Parts: sequence; structure tokens; C-alpha cells
Amino acid sequence: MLETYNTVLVDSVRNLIKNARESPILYFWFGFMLLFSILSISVLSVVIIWTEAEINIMDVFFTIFFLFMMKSSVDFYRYFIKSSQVSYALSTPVSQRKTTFEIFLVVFWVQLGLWALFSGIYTLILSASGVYMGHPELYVIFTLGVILSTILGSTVALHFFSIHRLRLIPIGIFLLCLWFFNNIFSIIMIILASVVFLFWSLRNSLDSFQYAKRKERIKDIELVGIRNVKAAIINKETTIIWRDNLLSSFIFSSVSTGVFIGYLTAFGDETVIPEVLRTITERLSPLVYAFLGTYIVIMYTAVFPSLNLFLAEEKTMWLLRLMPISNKKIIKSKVSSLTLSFIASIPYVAFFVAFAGLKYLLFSLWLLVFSYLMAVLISVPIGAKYVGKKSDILVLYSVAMLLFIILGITMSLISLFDLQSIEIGFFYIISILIEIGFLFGSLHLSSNIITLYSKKQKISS
Amino acid sequence: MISIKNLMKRYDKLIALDNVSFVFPESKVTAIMGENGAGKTTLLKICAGILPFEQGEVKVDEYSIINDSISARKRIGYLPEMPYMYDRLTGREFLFYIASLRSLKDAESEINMYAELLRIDHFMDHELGTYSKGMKQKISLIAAIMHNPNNLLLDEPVWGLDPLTSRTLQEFVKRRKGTTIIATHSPQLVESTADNVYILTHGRVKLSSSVSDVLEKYGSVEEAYFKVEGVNIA
Repeated sequence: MLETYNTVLVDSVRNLIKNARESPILYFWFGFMLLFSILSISVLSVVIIWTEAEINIMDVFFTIFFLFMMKSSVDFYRYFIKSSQVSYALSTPVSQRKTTFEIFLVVFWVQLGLWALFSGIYTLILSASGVYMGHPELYVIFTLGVILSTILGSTVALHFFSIHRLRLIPIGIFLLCLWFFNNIFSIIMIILASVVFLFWSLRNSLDSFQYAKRKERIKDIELVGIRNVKAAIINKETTIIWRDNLLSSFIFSSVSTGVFIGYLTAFGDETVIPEVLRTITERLSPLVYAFLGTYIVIMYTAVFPSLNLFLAEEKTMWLLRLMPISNKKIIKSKVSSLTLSFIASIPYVAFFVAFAGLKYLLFSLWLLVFSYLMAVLISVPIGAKYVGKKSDILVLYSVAMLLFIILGITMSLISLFDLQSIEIGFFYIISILIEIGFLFGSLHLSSNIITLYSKKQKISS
Repeated sequence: MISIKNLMKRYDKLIALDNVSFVFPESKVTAIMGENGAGKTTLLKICAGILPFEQGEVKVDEYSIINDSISARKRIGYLPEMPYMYDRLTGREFLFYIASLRSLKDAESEINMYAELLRIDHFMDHELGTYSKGMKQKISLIAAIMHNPNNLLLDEPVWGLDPLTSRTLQEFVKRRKGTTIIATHSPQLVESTADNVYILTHGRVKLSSSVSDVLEKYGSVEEAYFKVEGVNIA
């Protein structure tokens, strides 16, 4: 009866089990990062509850709502819009609306499953901390929010990737209604209206299936030319980053993180900060702020592009292997292309220092360079190892956890020094030099990872 | 010339190529036939230097694919069965990228000439992500031949091509010098272009002969294929 639903679900579960068996260490880090995230949120919640700070529950509701909405859009895009396997089911006599609805059901159960898992662990941790958790009405509202976000997220994907983008307007109206009337009755009414909209959208689902916007790039003809190998690889990498609008988002994330973290560093104890946030912000030192800000920025501008240097070559790795160039040259050229994303992360330091004070300039610069190099030296070999095998989110989360631990230890070391002392200058220089040494080792390792033939084969032939 | 000695390739427990040896001579077109999963694509990928193998020796114009990998790859042009490319680059950008990686300083005229010949010139500035299978096949074909390689490996070359381009490609293959290996399911393509033919079954060579001998003995390549595979068509 639900053939497509069963097939997609079974395929996804089998893939998950197969991948987990093949790469247990990667999945261990991934699971560790997820647990760590839930634990961090739980600890924050406990601090807020103990300090009896006032909290607007709808702020939490909307945070969870938008996270699940984004996840639903991404999942629906993956399972339906860009999935070539779905064309088999769509070409059978089964109604296409039914097939698309079954795919929506997969997305729906995945989101609810994740919500049940995360909220379950969160509740357990808080209960274990002695916090009273008897608020079933809140849990119902949050669960309804997840249901609504899944419906709206899927319809966003359906209409965004089609030529009829005006069909997104009702979603905007639903969100406005939710913003103004956020009680349980209104949420149920909006869910009912969005279900009707979902069924109408599913009738037009073929408008977005395998959607591709035909783009002609006449303006870029002058930039096309034959370059040396290194320049060609750098040019290709930066062209793709540019066309995917990643560069502007790198700069935006670096500026906004710099402003936000810098502001909290300077005015974290001011009354203009909401009380719930102030209970946390006034306890943190500028060093911790600098660490958190840098960590956020490099996750986006260093880890993500470094991993994707190879992960994005999933199906095109054959091309690089076919070319008469050494693996070392490929690795070095690709890593050189990261210079652009490093430059995009520098505004973070400027804005952070503008708020926190000039005395943090040297420290912030060192922390950015150190963290960036560390992110690259960890991410490049991992990306090379899992090319074509694992999703970027999975690897990204694993690297995030590993990096958090390493940078956390480094920050503990730094706190032993006086930031104004001369010794700290030596520490900065020596740590960067050691890291550069490790970076070369990491690049060498990466080029060995992408080598096809074993040493034994090379010797014997 | 490509020579292969005692080649062994496994995918986990499945043996894809079982201790096979070949010599693909200069100035000859050799066709590789066989049922699905017989090892044709695996063989071509190994010759192209993009797939590892467990045992054996592969030489491209006397250069070992393992120890002189870069020299060997300079002499190879490879058209894969599924031409995956960079979706956000245009056809022109992609071909110039490949020309740069191959250090072909004067490839522009070659690229334009082949684009016109294969009638893809009007789409050269569109992103590859919007190309059809046949259009991608044409771009991939230009990438495989623009450096005029001595050894050309074509995996299902006419699959997805329109009849006119398919004919152009066949004429090109017949006229070219150097070594050409074609993996295909099409007996017609073998008869029209190949000098020699191998039929593989479960990673082993079941038939190795010149096409003229096959035609003389069996009447057609298709008939020979059925006989070798033990299929009885009533």
C-alpha cells in the first residue's frame, strides 16, 4: 500500500547501518557531538532554571520550529526533488500525488523520530538534575510545532525549486499567523490549513521534480583561459564557491559573529541584554567569548570548505585521478584555494576587537590563524578519506567535536599566561610554527590517502 | 600500446577480473564485449589509472600505470560510461580546466573545432548541470580526445549520442592512429569500427579474435557473442 514510503525508508535505514558498520569511529564522533550538543543545551537550561531567570517559552518554540523547518526542506529536497530514483515510482500508474505524499511521510517520520530522540534525552538529563518536568501541555505545543515545521518545510522546498515561486506566499502568511497567534488552538488551526495547502502543493509536485535552472554565463567568457595547473585548480574551486554564493555567506557569518560575540563581550552584563541570556553572558570571560566566536567562524569558513575540497568531488574524483598530475600538487592547489575563505574570516577579528578592545587584537588574530590551520589540518585528510562515501553533515559534525576538544585544551593552556606578557608572544610564534609543521604532515598524509596503489604494489612492479 | 599481465581485481568477494592478460596493439581498434558485470568497465578504469587492483601489471606505452603513473596518464584519453562533471561550470570552463590540468597551452582551437564538429558549440556557455546525457557525453568526449592521446579508452561511447554524432565518432575512431579500446554491448559498433574483439565472461576472456575471423566463422559478431555465452536463440 505504501510501497514508495517503505522502499525509501528501508533504503535510508540500510544505508545508515552499512555506513555505521564501515566507519564506526566516524559515527562515534558524530554521536558524541550530538550528545554533547544536547548536554550543553541541558546544562544551559539548568543554569537558567536555577538562577530563576525569566524565559519566553515562545522564543524556544520558534528556535526549534525553524531548525526543524530547515531540516525538513533539506530532507524533502534530497528524497524527492534531486532524487533520480523517484522517477521509477512516478512513472508507474500509481497517482503521482500519492507517491510524493509517501515521500513526505518519510520526511515527516524522520523529523518526529529526531524530535522524540532529542527531547527524550533532554528530558532525561533535566529530570536527573532534579528539575521538575511535569509540563505536558508544553511538550504537546512543541510537538505540534515540529509537525507544522515539517509540513511547511516540505512545501517551501516544493515551491522554492520551481518556476512558480509565488506559491510560497501562503507559507509566509502561515508564519505570520503563527507569530501573532501562538496559542495551542491557533497552532492546530494553522496545521489544518497547512495540510490543505500541502495536498494542493503535492498536486503540483512535478513542477519541482529534478528542477534545474538553465544558466548561461556569457559574461564569464573573458575569464575562461588556459592556466597553469595550480591556478586552474584554485580558479575552479573559487568559481564554484562564488557561484554557490558561499563567499558572501562566509563574510556575512564572520561579520555577524564578530559583532554579536564582540557586543556580548563588552556589554554582556548590561540590562539591555534579555535576563535569560544575561545569566550566562555575565559569567563568561572575554577569552571564552573569543574562543566561542572563533570556533563558530572557523566551522563555517574553514572546516566546511576544507572538507568539501574532496567530499564535493564525490562523483568527479575520476577526473582528477585521470589527469597527469601528482597527488601532492592536487592537494596543495586545493588547499591554496582556502586562502579566499580565510580572508573572508578576518572581519570577525576586526569586529570582535572593535568591541572587546585593542588589547585582544594579537590574541584574536593568533586564535583565528591557529584555529584555521588546525581546522584545515584535521579536515583535509578526513575529507580525502571519505570522498564519495559519507555525507558532509556527518563528517562535519565529527570534525566539529574533535576540533572543539583540541581548541578547548589549547585555550586552557592559554589561560595560564598573562595576555600582555612577552612569553605569550613566544607561545604564539612557536605554536603556529609547530602547527605549520603538522599541516605539511597532514597534506602528505592526504596525498597518501588518495593514492590508489599500495606501497607493496609499487615496490613489486 | 597497452599491455596487461595477470591482472586480478576483486570487489570484496566478487572477482571482477580473474588473472587476465591482454595486449592492445598500436593502430588497432579493440572491442571488449561481455554481459553486464563481466568486467569491461573495470578493465577500462584500471587502464585509465583511476581504479586500484590487487595483482598484475599494466603498462601504457611501456610506462607502468603504478610506478610511472603520470607519464602513463599523459598518454591516455578516457571516456567514462557515466560522464560525471562539475555542475556549476560551463562546458567551456570545464574543457579549459581539463586543458589546463593537462598543460595544453594551445588547446583553444582544438576545443572550438571539436565543439563545432559535435554540434555542442551553442551550449558551451551553459552550466553543465543543465546538460542532457548526450550533451555531457559530447563534452566528456572532447575532454578525452583534445590532447590527441596515443591510447583512447571509450566506455559505451555511442550511448546517449544522436545518430549523426554517433556516426562522426565512429569515423573518427576508424581514422585515428594509436591504440583504441572500446567497451560496448553493440555488435554493430564492433563490426563497423573494431579490428579485434574480446568477449569477457565473469572476469575471464572467453573469446579473443580479429573481427574479420569472427565474421568468417560465425557470420556476425552478435552470433559469435551468443555462441560464446552459450545462449541458444531459436
